[in-house]
Amino acid sequence: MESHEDSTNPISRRRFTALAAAGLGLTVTAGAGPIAALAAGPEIPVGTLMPLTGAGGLFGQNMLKAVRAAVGQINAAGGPLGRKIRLYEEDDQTDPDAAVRAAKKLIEVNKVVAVIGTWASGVTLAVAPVCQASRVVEMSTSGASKITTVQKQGYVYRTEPDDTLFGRAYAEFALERGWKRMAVLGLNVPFTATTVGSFRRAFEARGGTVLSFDTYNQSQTTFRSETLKASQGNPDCILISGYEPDVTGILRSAYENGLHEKFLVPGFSVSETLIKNAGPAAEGLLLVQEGVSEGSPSYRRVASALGGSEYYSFAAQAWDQIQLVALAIEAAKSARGDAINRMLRAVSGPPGARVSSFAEAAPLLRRGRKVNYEGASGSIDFDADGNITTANFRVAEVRDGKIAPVQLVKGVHF
Amino acid sequence: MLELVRQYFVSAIVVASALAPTAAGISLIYGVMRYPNFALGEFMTVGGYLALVLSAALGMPLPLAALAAALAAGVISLAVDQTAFRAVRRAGILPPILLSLGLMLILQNVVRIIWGNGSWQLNVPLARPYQLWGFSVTPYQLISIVVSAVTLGAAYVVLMRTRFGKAVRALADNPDLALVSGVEPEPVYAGVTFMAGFLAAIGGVLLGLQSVLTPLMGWDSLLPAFAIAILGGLGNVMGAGIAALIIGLAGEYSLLFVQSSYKSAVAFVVLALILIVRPTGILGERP
Repeated sequence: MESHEDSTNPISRRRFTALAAAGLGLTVTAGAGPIAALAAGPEIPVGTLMPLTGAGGLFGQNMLKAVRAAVGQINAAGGPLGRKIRLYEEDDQTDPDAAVRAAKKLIEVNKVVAVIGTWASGVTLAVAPVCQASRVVEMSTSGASKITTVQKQGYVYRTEPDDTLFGRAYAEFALERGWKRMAVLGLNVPFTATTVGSFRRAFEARGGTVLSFDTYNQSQTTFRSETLKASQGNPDCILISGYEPDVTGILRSAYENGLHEKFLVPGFSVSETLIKNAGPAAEGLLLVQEGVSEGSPSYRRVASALGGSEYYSFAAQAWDQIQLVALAIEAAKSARGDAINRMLRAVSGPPGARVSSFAEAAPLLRRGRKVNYEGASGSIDFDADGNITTANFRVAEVRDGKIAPVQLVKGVHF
Repeated sequence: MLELVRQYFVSAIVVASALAPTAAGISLIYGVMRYPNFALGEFMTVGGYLALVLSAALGMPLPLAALAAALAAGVISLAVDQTAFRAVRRAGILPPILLSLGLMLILQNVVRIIWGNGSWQLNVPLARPYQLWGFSVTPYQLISIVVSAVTLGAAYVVLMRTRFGKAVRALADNPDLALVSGVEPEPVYAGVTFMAGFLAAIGGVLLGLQSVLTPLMGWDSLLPAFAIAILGGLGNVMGAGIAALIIGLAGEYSLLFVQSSYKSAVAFVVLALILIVRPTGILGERP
């Protein structure tokens, strides 16, 4: 029945749009009832705002692919309220100015009910007020702790672990390895203060010692002296809280100083470029990445939609974002931004039947049951501030120029 | 601790070697043409990226690529001077400053458009250090120090031993006297802008040897390079070399007491303190 529905979709879409335009909106309410498999109203416009170019370009491409695949499956299962989701895709260029222009276009011209997929924290912070003002739900994969303040005002959610959780994950991994003495180098930016502060508290509370903590500026000529200083006292490992160019510089300087220390860095600072530029200095580098729910049915769907050869942490988050929007619409029986905002928390976490996709959840929601979405990137339970309450991380290592998984750090929470 | 004191000395010379040529260029232009050229930092960037293209894409050996990149940067510097800057020669200090700021933005964005915002690496193999009299230093750090010293030395010889150098010094010391003595200013201006572009590009390649190439590398080096030029005495190439060492040493040794992020602040404190004692810089002429 559903496949039949699909094949006639263009016709019925046009017909129903025409009907709705003629003021016969009653079909919408009727469609939400037992005969929901019929297309019951106009398409629901949802905007994707992802970095298809710029620093996040590589991640954004996969995120978009994941969302397209997810929408295909959601629509094949009938769509929320029996309506199809229609994607409007914009490139935020990893640039806050471009992102705000694109967000305004999505909201004002395309009338989207949700904007998903912003990646850079700067972009999310710029776009959030625009969405809040128009009562449009915004979902990001950004880590900055500052975003929590914005999220407290509603409509804004993120599937990425907060920087504080990153700090805890570093400590968790270090302690599991039996490391007791760490040195820290941090780029002098806000996220370093948050991440390193939280790392330090968690690490020292369980008997670890931070031998030194030096902040540096990005505009350094060399990191020769900084790496020498950090290696004093033979730390078990040196944590670097930084971005790609400075992490590259530090690794190279350490190598050129003849050091053999282990380094632990955030996953978002490591790319193909770093591995190429740092060459032998990158070997053995440990990175902590935002995790996925490995082995879960949702993640298997993401991996198969994208080809399955890489580690799709941001794409998995984007996948979860569109699923959650679809679930919230179904649960709220409305595709308005404020209705979605009201239901997002309820469908993301307990209580409710655990579900891994819209197709699985829709029949339950239509019978008035509660659901708890278990996503591809993790369990995804939003707290009152729109943050995920627990996060999974993966530790990987650069071996022979490739990123190889080492172990998982599960269930890190606030 | 003692080991750190010893090793920071090498870091200081390496840092100085990358910044001194650009500072010398700033110093020369200010000494002769009397305006601070804020675009010289970008000539470092351009030099670094040109050397990358010539060596990585066209297969030139890096020393040759660096020389060709520096010559090209000199020509670009000269071309801009002969078109834009020449038109405002007699308009006072503000127009050339604004022009140099504009040029800075243009060059920086041209680099972004061509090579993107990411970081690049000159094709030099990473090496473990030698131990040299207790100092650990890599071959490329040694090369950087030697190239910088030789370049500054050559610039010094040109200024001291050639007719062109004599004219440069005459114009720098007393422009009016130089003009009535028959010094043609335009060829001197042309030579000086070429030299400044050349020097900055060499600095850019040396900086690239020590870290990564990014579109912001020149901008990031601009303030320290200016501090060095002022400390050395504007118009004085050798002063730039010595001042680079002082700023380098002050910055690196500050790590013994404060966080690395205060490095540049410490360097500026040292700059201010020395200027109180010697207002025209270490080797600057007494007013």
